Amino acid sequence: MLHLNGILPGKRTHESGKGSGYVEIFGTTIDPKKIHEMPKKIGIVFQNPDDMLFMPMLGDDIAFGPINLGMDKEEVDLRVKESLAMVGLAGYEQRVPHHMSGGEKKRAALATVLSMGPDILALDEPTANLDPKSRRELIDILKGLKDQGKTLIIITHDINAIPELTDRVIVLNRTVIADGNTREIFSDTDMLIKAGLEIPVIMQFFEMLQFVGYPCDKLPLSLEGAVNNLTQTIENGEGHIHLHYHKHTHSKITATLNKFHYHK
Amino acid sequence: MIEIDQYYGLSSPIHRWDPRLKIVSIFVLIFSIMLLYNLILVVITMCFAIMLVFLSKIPISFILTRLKWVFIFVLPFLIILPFTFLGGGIEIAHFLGITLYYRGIEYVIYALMIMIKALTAVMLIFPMIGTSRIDITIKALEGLHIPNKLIQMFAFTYRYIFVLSDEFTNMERSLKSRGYKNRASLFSITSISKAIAMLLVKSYERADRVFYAMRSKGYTGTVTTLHEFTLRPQDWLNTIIVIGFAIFIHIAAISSTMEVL
Repeated sequence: MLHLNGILPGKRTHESGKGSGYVEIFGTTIDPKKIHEMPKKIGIVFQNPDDMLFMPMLGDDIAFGPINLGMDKEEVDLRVKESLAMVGLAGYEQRVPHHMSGGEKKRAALATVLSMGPDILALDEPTANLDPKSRRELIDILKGLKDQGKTLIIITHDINAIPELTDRVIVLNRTVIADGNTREIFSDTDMLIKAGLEIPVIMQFFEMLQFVGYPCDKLPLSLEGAVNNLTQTIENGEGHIHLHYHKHTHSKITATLNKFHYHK
Repeated sequence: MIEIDQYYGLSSPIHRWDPRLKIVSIFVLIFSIMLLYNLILVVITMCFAIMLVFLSKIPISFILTRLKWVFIFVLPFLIILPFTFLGGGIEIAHFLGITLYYRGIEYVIYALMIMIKALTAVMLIFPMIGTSRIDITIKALEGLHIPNKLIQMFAFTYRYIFVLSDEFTNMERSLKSRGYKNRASLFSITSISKAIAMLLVKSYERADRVFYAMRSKGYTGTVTTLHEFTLRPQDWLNTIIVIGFAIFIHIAAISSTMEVL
């Protein structure tokens, strides 16, 4: 991920150069000599918030980036307030990082990057090590950022969070295994299982429902999608859903369950 | 974990004193007592320091528990300094062919002076650092134009000492939950030293990640923070009193040596 802002330099600096790779953002190749200009374009949120909150007081941590970008005092103050409000930590300027909870630290780490106003955000496992409530809050914040037009690059194993946040999914296992929109990726169960991943629980459940006669050609990826799908089906069936059981149902369900298991 | 700035919330003249002037003044006072070589004046300065501590309202027990360690550290001076094996004093004991000599009262005074100076210097740290939040102190140092690298070191030490102590507590608990006990056995010692070595490796890797995080946020070598301090006449008055005392005590020291001559 650190290749994205040039901290780990690519082997070549532009397309025609020698070496194995390069990173291009907004049409310009990253120049390792201009790393200090990168935060304006791309903000990186590390997995462990303790690595990002290195000042004695949270307010200073959030002001760190804008000050480095050479902004004046009023602008910095404004940005600190704004970015804390964006992650739901308004009024936390005077707090000390080692007295904050894990979920607060995660959101604070995000705020330290937001204060620099990057167009792209790269997040490493944003939902890892969080309790369900904090995870939900973080996903909602990220959704809000996406709606504001920020580009999010998220590295995650949190399969159930992906449909809510992403348009495009790239599966990596040393190299690129698959690349496509969210639905395409999740319909390739075999590939996901081989990569040690799985498909969202909702999707698994609706695949099962098909075997008892539930009419569904487009499996829903998230809870919201599932509700829409159910409503639609009930409306089509004029108030009813007809489920039924026949002699092949059992074997089909067993076969599908097997499909979701990992093979050694 | 107990922190040095845990009493920053109290209200006292020392707490209200501008942190920059407070640090400079008390620092001057510490240096002034270190350079004194006259027992009476050292004791007077110690009384002045005790007065400052009382004014700061920091609980005496909090300071005494910390001074205890300094005391244990300087106590050997009092035991060792007045005696010698090299001769030139009153013989007091013979054993194994070695003679122990007592060097005279001036060496006892000398040792006492070292002890009082050390205790006073450490005691003065509490009104100096313990009366404002540590981040305010760090900003004050920045306001005093202390080299930025030093301030960064200070700030990072303060920030990560808690992370490291948490990590060590975790490691200790994980050891204990698997039946580890502190014993004087080789196994105990190797386990704990391996745990400490792991802590070093972890902190080394963390340092790398923190550095990457800083660079990702546009770090180019200096850390600046926003801070505002305003000076009131009272701040200057406090400064004049403390630095004035430090200078006065040295004038007294010089004049007393002149009299002896």
